[in-house]
Parts: sequence; C-alpha cells; structure tokens
Amino acid sequence: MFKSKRIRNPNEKLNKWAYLFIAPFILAFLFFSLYPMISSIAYSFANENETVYENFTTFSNYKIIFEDVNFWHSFINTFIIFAMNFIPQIIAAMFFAVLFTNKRIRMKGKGFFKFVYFLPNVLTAATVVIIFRLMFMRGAAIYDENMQIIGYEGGPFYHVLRFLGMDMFTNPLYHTWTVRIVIAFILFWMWFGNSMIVFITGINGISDEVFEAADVDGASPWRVFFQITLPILKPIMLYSLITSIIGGLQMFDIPYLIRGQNLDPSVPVFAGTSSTDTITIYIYEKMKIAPHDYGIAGAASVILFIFSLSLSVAMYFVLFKEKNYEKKIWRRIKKYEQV
Amino acid sequence: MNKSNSVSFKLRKTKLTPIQLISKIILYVICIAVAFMVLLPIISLIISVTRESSEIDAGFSFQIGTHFGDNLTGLIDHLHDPYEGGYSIARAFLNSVIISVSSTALCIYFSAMTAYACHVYDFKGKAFFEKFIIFLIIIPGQLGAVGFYTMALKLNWMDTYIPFILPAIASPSTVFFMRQYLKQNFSREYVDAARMDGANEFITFNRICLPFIKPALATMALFGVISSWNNFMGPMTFLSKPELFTLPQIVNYMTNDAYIQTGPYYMGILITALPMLLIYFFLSRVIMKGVSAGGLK
Repeated sequence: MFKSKRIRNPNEKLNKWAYLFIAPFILAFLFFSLYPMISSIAYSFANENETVYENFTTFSNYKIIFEDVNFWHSFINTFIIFAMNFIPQIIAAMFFAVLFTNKRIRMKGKGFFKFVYFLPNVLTAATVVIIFRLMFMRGAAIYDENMQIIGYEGGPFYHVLRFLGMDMFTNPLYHTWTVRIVIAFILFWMWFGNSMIVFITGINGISDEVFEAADVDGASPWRVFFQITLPILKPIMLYSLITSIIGGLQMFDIPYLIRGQNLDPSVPVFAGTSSTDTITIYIYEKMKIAPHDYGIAGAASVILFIFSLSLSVAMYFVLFKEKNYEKKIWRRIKKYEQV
Repeated sequence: MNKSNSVSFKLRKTKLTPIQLISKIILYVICIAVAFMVLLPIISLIISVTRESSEIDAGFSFQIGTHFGDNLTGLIDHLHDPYEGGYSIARAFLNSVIISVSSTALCIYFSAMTAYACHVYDFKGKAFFEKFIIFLIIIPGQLGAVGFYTMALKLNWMDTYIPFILPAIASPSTVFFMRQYLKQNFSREYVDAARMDGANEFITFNRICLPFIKPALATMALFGVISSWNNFMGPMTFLSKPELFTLPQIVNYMTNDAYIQTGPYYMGILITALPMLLIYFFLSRVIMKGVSAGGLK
C-alpha cells in the first residue's frame, strides 16, 4: 500500500492537468446545453412572447398547452406512430436476430442480409421520404371501356396498400390513417436493422453453455426462445424500448417532410395537419413561426423532457434489477434437470 | 470463449427431413423478400435518375433509361438559376461537408481528451464527473431547443455554422464510448513511460494516446459524419440564406419547388444520399461494430 502511494506521488501534481483536459467539454456543456435548458424552463414559466423573465406567470403557458387541441393531437400522434412502428420493428428484429444466430439453422448469406437490413439506417431522412413518396405514389387513373375508373397506376408499395384495402381510393399520403401507416413503415424500414444488430449482440453475449444445457435436455426451439433467449434479452429489449421511445418522442424529419407536400390546394389538407404532427413539430413551429411563442414551446419541451426522463429513470432501475438474469436462468435449467 | 465454442453443439450433419427442408426454404424466401423490400426504394432511386422526367412522372418502372447526364446538368442548371437566389447543388454539398467534417473533428478530439482525462488522472470529483456524463446521455436534447434558439438569436448566430459546429465539443455519448475503449485497451504505463522521457502532458495525449485509439476515433468519426450529414432540423432552424443551405435542406427546398423537373429532382436526392451509401458500402463492419457497442442511439 505504502509503496504504491510513493510511486504515484510524483504524478500527483500532474493530476491538475485533468481539469485543463475536461475544461472544453465542461465549458461547451455549460454554454450549449445547460444554459439553453435552464433558459427553456424559464421561458416555459414566463409570459407569452416575453424575453425578460420578470413577469413570472407560473403555469399559464402550461394551462394554454393543456387546453390546446393541437398539442394533444401531436402528443397522441407521436404515440400512435411510435407504436405502429415499434411493435413490428422489434418483432422483425428479434426474428432475424434469432435466425442469424441460431446454430442449428445455420443460415447462409447472413453477412449479406445483415448488411442489407442495416443499410437504410445511414440514409438521410429527407431523401428517404422522397424515395418513399415514389413508392407510395398513386399514378394515372386506369379506365375501363365505359370510361369508369377501375384503378390507378402507382408505386409498388401503393399496390400493396391497395391490396390490403387501405388506399381509400385516393393517394395514401393524404389520409389520416394511411399516412400514419406510411410514416410508421418508413421508420420501421430505417430502424429494424439497427435493433436487429443490437439483439444479435445480446444473443451472442449469452454463453453457449446455457443453450447447450437446453439442447441436452431436448428442449424445443420455441421453448429455448421463450424460456431462455427472451428472458435473458429482457434488459436489452428494455434498453432498446426506452431509447426508441426517447428517439420516437423527438420524431421530426419524416412526418414533417411527408406533410410538406400537402401544398396542392385541390387536396384536402386535414391529413397534413392533425395526423402527422408530432410533439417536436409542435415545438418547432411554435418557436420558429411568428409570433414565436417561446413560452408555449418551452412548456411543451418541459413536458416532453419530464416524460422522457421518467422513462429513462425507470429503465435505469429495471436494468439494475435484472442484472443477474443469466444466473436465474441457470437455476431454472437446473430445476428442470432435477425434475 | 474459444473453448466453450469448441465444446458446444455437436452439429448434426445428417440429411434434412422434408419438413426441415421446406421450413429452411421458407426462411430463405422470407429473408430475400425482406431484403428486396429494403433495397427496392434505393434501387428505384438509382433507376429513376437514369430516366427522363416525363417517364418518372408516368409511374414506377424498372426500365433503366439513358438520361443520367441530362438529369445531372438539369439539376445544376436549375439550381444555378439567378431567380433562385444562389442555390447550387455544389455549394450545398460543400456546406454539408464543411459542417459534418468540422463538427465531427471537434467532437472526436475533445471527447477523446475528456475520456483521456478520466482514464489517466485521479482528480477531485472524477467519480461524480463520470456518473454525470452517463446521466447526460439519457437526457433528451429537445429540452434545450428553445433556449438554444433564442440564445443564437441574441448572439447573431443565425445563418452561421456555429450552432452546428461548436456544441459538438460536448458529446457525452462519444466520451462514454471512448472511455470504455481506453479502459479496455490503453494502459497507464504508456503515459508513465512518456513522462519518463520528459514529454509534456498535452504532447503525451496527442502523440501517444490519439494514435493508440485510432479505431475508436474512426468509429465515432463515422457516426459523427453520418448524423451530422443527415441532420435536418438543425439547418432548418438556424439557416435561412440559400447559399448556406445543406443538402437535406436543398432536398426539402426542391420538394416545394414547382418548377423543378422530376429527373433533376431525383438526381439531387441521389447526390444527398450517395456519400452515406458509399461510406456504408466500404465501412459497414465498423459501423455495425459501433452499433453493437452502443455507439449509436
């Protein structure tokens, strides 16, 4: 003990360098993160359009928000679109993760499939939306001999929607539910590869001995999945759920750009206002568009913040609890062996 | 690890039963179908830029055209129109490169520096600082948006690149990633050796540590470039002068432009997406490794 102390002593002076090294981070954090956060909170309690915080009006901005139909619309929209994207996403990601890690099936071309499935994740959302517009676009009408419209030309995904009876005989991008489906599908398309990679890492992290023991016991693949893989992956799934919710609450680009095209006056615009607005779009528009309701925008971002933070904290505690899951599974396997 | 692998699973190389064969075929069909679904939009974009505008407008098709050059010149000409107030695809490309390269460079350099300080030194408040960084990762950035916007207004940062570049210095998730990497790969003894040779602390970091953690720097640089290149909300918030627009903004501008033809329009989209596609094509392994290490949220 004494020895190590004596050796470290000459370097003790050098430890002051650490403050110099972390100074840029701390300064940038204080200036670009902490100050803006505090100022956002201050705005949320300030009077409308007030840049000075003298008129502390407490909760008036929050009251306005809670009575604002548009806010609730965007709040509900965010969750609807999130759920429609996340549930299929996590199922597909889990399916492919299990498929590509399973040692009995031994898929060929795993590397290629992984490469392809992850690819959309690096694309710019702005470009993705436009590519998908082509995919979902309704083309020219097709007439029969009596000049009655019997259908439309269109992109391949448009035909899929039509086949499922969801095109409502008009452009899917102009309808409340179909436009939500389109947005959710784009998000699914962009993110399921990412979740898949995370799950594959999780499954590879499970020691082979667990699977081996199950194999020796003659457990069916389904049983292995539901009683070993899934429970061990629970913390990772929770992690992915919470990060997705936090990311999903900040959803902006895709809904905003999908909506951006509803400029054609001949088309009903209701689909563009109430069915694609998310909380972030709400905040952005209050902040950016005159009359610049910073107070309202601040209050909305505080609500968003409290929401995300409580979810994150919940995740933190759940993850701490689940730390020794693998040991639990071992115990369970041993129990089966005894029976 | 290797040991357990060699012991585990006596893989049965016996012939598949018909049911197993059929289910295997079904699995392959599913995989290929999903791969097709993923690639279809990208393939259609690449096909579209080779077709004439009127052909694209008529509807989707796999027919490859011969109008690639026309679409490219059409795009350049359209965005050079003096009426448009200085839009130019080359300028936008350059702007995107400037922003993503400079913000990424700052991000990885200062994150490495912060992580290095946590790794090498024992300073007061270190434990708190490290926990604080992890806490910062889970805080959603949206809270600061209003405050940052009004601050930028007051400081005359509108229509400059400062709001994208400087905040990159404080990137908690990058610091966290670098810290994990240093813990696993970088021994303090290297630092002690450098000190013996009389190297300054700062030089030790630059000459000893940075070359050592190149893989981590490269991974984080990739993530930085990708997220900064794809950033849409930031430029939309802070940039209003056309000559400062980034590529995603140009794409958005073209979407609302009634005068642009479809061919050049898709060419603009391809130009925006292509650099990321190329990066992914050559470096997908690094990116996936980073994702599995929790590099990207």
